[in-house]
Amino acid sequence: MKEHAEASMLSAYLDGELMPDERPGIESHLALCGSCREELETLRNAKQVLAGAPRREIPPELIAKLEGRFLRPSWWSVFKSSLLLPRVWVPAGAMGLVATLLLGVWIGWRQFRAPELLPLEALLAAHSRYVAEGLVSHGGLATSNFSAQLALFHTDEEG
Amino acid sequence: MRRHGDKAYNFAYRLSGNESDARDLVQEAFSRAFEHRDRYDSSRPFEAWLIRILHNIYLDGVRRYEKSHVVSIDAPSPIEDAGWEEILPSPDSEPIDAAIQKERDHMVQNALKRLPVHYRTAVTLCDIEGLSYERIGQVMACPVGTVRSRIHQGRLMLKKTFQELSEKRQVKS
Repeated sequence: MKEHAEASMLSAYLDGELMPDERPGIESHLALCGSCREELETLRNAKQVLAGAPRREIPPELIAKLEGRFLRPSWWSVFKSSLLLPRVWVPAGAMGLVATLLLGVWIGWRQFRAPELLPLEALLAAHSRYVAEGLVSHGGLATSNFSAQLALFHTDEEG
Repeated sequence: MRRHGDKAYNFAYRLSGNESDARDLVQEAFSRAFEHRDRYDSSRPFEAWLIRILHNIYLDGVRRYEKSHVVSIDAPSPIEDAGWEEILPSPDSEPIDAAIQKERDHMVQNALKRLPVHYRTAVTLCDIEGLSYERIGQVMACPVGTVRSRIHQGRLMLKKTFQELSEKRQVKS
């Protein structure tokens, strides 16, 4: 066995970077050599001091600058960010309010307006059928007894 | 982008020793990475490539940086009287006082500045950034054996620095 372990192997052992065939030799040496154990402890302390140093985060304005320069924003991120702007959501909100009011007025108008007139196509089709069946004369709609037949027709349709 | 930026910035700060140079290094590294993006091998991690670019930029300008940011070995440190037990991270999980953290940061930075750049790079990438020896070898363009040696030598130099500080403390007391 060597008097002491090869120096750089101690750091590699500490970092878990030894080759599989190197590890048993170092571990058996460390079990017997107080000097190398002491050296390993010193290296461990140096590593811990560096690892415990606070990390510096990139300043926000620098990352914003880099992103602005090197990243093209997606349409979704543009859309999301634009939603936060008052110049977008204030007019959009006003338009939504107006649209809601108009919808309410339209629904109200539909409910309270006069009963719907009969559809012309159905009227003509029924007239043609009643003429063909001889139920009404060939005259104009206004002069026939169409109204009574039409009432029956609608009763049948609904039934 | 932020994750890469944080990593690059922290490394640049430890390498250059100040925020102003760290900003310049990061900006230049991103610019060059963008400019030469066709050379990026997507099978490898982008971070290592970016850090390698940053490291090369630093080496290119190392004389200018070293001239303007020389730190004397005798320069006073806020905690130059500290021993291992005082500068090692606290083992418990209680929040460390901000002032102590700041002092530790200052001490680490001063100690790193005293290392030659290759050793500083190796220990920073290993112990601060947590890169494997293989990745460090890619960044520094050297074999893993060289990385191993530089990390070890770098740690021994740090040890020596801290011993000097401890001796100063004993002389003063």
